[in-house]
Amino acid sequence: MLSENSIVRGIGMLEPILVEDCTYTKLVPSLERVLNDLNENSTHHDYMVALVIVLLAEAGFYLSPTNNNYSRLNCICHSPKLKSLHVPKDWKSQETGVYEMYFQPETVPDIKCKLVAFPLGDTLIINFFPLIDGKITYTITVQTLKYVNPYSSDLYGRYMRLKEISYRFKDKLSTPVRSDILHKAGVMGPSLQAFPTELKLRILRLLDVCSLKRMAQCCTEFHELCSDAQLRTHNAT
Amino acid sequence: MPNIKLQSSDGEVFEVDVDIAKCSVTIKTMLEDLGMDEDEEEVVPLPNVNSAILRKVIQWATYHKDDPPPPEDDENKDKRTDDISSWDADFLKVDQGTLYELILAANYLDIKGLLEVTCKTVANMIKGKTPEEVRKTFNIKNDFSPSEEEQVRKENEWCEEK
Repeated sequence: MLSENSIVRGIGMLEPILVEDCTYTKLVPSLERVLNDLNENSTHHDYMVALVIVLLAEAGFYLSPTNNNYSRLNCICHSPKLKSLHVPKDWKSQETGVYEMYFQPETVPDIKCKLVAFPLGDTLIINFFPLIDGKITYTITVQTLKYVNPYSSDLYGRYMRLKEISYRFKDKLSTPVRSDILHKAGVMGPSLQAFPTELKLRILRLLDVCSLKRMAQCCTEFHELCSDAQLRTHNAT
Repeated sequence: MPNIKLQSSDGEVFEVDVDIAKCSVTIKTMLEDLGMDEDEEEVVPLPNVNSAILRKVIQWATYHKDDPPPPEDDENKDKRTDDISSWDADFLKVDQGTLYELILAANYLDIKGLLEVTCKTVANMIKGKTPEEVRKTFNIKNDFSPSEEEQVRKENEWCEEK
């Protein structure tokens, strides 16, 4: 039942899988892998953007082969994995210090997304958006030194508050972009609107009449679904 | 207690007590159909669940392994959403994307208890919000024309206490 090339190993319940699982003594392997590409000249913003590459991969966005130094062959032969992440050589403009990278979502690889991060002193403005019509650009502003300490002597001390930045980044950037992409492509996936109808109805049936009426005003799809849900639960409220 | 191995979409293998794994009706059926529970070397592939989510599901199932079986779905049952236990509430303090992935995993693995508590959490995120706030929270695009929107607002007006 197991394909030969898959990685077979047991994983402990405490071993970090995601950035948010990191502890003071254990970094998640994906982040450790990306940090190999940094060196003693790397800035605090470099560390932050390296972290962003890992967070995006966790959310299902992988560096796209459009980034020049990414081996096209490598990308086609192997599906992207958290373990094979890297920092692209041309990720940062030498003149302006602005980071630019293209990503593609695992589920809808033909829609490209762009990440642009502008350093402004110790602040980093991170923009992320899909390259589709009527796109929305999602932005967060990060005080890099709140999360990164590039001077820490050991690797584990380089990052702080990883859970906080992970949730913030995913809730404000990667999850909304993923939701826009799923909606655009009409694919089912992890977003309220991209859930199968049966799941949407299950959630709507848990709402009281007033919440249902407000939900009905959100968009045409929920307008229709809410009247369905309302009919079925009419007697229960 | 015999263990079985579950393999996530990204190739990680988790060894789990059979009784815990069987809180997933999908896995339970798979084991029965394939007669797999005799052979400990078999690995059950779960191509729709990644390792981070699978581990969370196992954590949830381990904590809830002694729960009584959930009652059958009843259309007219109580619609309470404020009865989430403190352990579950703490367990579900995750980013929104993870919450949605847990819902899809609970649905695919057919774990009724987990599906119920995650859906209640989303329902609680909807409750008390204005349509604009709901759109913002869930990234929903307003696709009504101005006249439709006015009409929809009117037909749902009587409940607007906010």
